[in-house]
Amino acid sequence: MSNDPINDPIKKKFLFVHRKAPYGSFQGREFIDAGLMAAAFEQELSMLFMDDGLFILLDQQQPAAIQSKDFSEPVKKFSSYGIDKVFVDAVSMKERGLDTGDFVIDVNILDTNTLSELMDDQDIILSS
Amino acid sequence: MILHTVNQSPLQNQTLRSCLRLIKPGSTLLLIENGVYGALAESTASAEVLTALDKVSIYALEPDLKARSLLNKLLPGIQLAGYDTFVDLVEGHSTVQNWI
Repeated sequence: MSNDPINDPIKKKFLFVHRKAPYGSFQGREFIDAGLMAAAFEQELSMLFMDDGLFILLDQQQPAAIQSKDFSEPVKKFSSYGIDKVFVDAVSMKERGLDTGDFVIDVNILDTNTLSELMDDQDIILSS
Repeated sequence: MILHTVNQSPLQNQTLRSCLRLIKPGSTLLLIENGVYGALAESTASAEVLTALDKVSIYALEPDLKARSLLNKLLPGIQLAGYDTFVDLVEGHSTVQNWI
């Protein structure tokens, strides 16, 4: 049975590219939530953080100061949703003076060529 | 004197750069919302902001820094502003230019 969507659901490779800083708008936050939702449908998920999207990963955000929801909170749930492919663009990191100790979860840091290959390898790419 | 506010990240677009190009010495710049990323010590925008600090006062809104976890990554010379200071700055300047 190749077309049994219940017992043999179609799996696709999804890449979510997070590029927007947290808190400036809720676009980025809804995008992270959409990623968690995709995980619930048991798709093959990768999360890539680049450009200002890296700031979503910073540890010790205090959103109460501006009466906002915590953008890093859904990120902390990645592992419980089975999302273990979390990638960070090395160039974006350097541009912002960040290092892995700044981040709220463990990430894989990728150089430009490896990132291009990661994108090439996907069925569906969604970007914020 | 003009109070300039910038609410965009300098790592995402040119808004802060345009402001710094046109701002007059002695003016005040207040970084708010995603503009506070302009206060980072080690970003590709840091050198320009550091140069600007020689001629203008630069404040960053503390609640926005706190929310984004940036308080320990600031360029020396950036002054912290609470909402009370924000109000004082607006009141103390004849004109406000919002770079949005």
